[in-house]
Amino acid sequence: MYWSESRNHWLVTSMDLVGEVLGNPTDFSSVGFESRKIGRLSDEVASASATVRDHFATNQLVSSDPPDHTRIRRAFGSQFLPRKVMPLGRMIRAAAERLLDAIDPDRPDVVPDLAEPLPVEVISEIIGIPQHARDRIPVVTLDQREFFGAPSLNVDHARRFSSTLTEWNGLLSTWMDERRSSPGDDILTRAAEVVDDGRVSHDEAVATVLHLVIAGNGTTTALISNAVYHILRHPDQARLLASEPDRIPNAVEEALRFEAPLPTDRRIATRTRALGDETILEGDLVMAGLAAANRDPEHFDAPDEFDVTRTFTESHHVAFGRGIHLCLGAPVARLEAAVALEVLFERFGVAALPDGFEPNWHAITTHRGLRTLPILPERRP
Amino acid sequence: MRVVISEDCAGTGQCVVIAPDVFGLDADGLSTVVREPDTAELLAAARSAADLCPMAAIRIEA
Repeated sequence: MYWSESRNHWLVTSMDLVGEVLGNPTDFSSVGFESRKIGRLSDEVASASATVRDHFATNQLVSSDPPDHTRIRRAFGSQFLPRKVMPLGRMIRAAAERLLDAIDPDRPDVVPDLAEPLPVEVISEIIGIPQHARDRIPVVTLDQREFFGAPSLNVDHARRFSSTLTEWNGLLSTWMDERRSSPGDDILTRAAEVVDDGRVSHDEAVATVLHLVIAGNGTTTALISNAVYHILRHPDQARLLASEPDRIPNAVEEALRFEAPLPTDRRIATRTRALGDETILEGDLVMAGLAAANRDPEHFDAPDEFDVTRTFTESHHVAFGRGIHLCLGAPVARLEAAVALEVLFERFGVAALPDGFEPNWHAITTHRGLRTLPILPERRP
Repeated sequence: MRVVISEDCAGTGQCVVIAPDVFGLDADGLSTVVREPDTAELLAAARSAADLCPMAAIRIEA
């Protein structure tokens, strides 16, 4: 583990210490990260960020501790039960095929053609977002990512994210109201139910659903593009997966391990205590290095090698986090990535990366994904 | 000691990763106890799984 003077936080990189931080919400809280960040901005940017501060001060999954976290997670957890998620495969496949029907089949680019639009379609179906509003999903996703990940946050970022949050608050409230008179089988219906039975407040429900919109989107884009990139870097592994598609789910796990879409998670120490060989002070920001722990040589053989046949029985990766904040949508992300890979193999065979391809990563520390991924379809008779 | 899984289980599967000797998944993908923790080591693993359960659905009864 390291103290970063410039970033003013601890970075924990071993699997055991990441497990200790994420496994102990009493000592390492999820509350207050956003208000702390906003509190350190200049007056002008901070005042433009008031809506953002209020949004994250509202209890929601990512920025709450037990008992609030448990209450909200239970209210929405039924939407991600295995029996709810598994049947989504057909819908995901249909969406992926529809998207690929519309592109130039000789010059596919995995990111804009599939990895970006597919998660928007899938999360919209699950949540119940109408067609006409789906193009607003990438906007709020990007605004949030820039707000928290931009190297230097300026007043434009703050104003933009504040106004997008206000817009989404209105949209989600309207749709929840519509579900009260005509319920469906979606998360907006569930949100209206749990507000009406008093389990969560209206603001908590809206903040939680918006979080699901954003979290279910950019991260899955990154997962799909990272998985395709690393598989195609290893043509022998790509051929194996094309001929034995049953191995694809394991390849998704390896992509999650090898190139975690969210490289870090963050907590704030609630008391002064030892961690590893160091002393953490109350109030210290602690970054749990998910991507680093996934390469911990104590837990994974040849950790820097990408191997779709790796077995995960002994040690599991922490790309979805660990403990009570474990990604709620993980089963959807896994299924979506697996279906995306299946459909790509079916359409383009064992595609290749262009000669001299150099990955172009998003230049943001909170998000690991490719901006673009052109592939060359296999020439088939 | 007895491990009880409540109806809040959402099948996140984390307990199976943390304590594979104690927990398994049933046909619906939900957690089930495959072996009561009858050793100190298994009990520690079961407690850890209970602490880490996102749904707080695991209880260890005396």
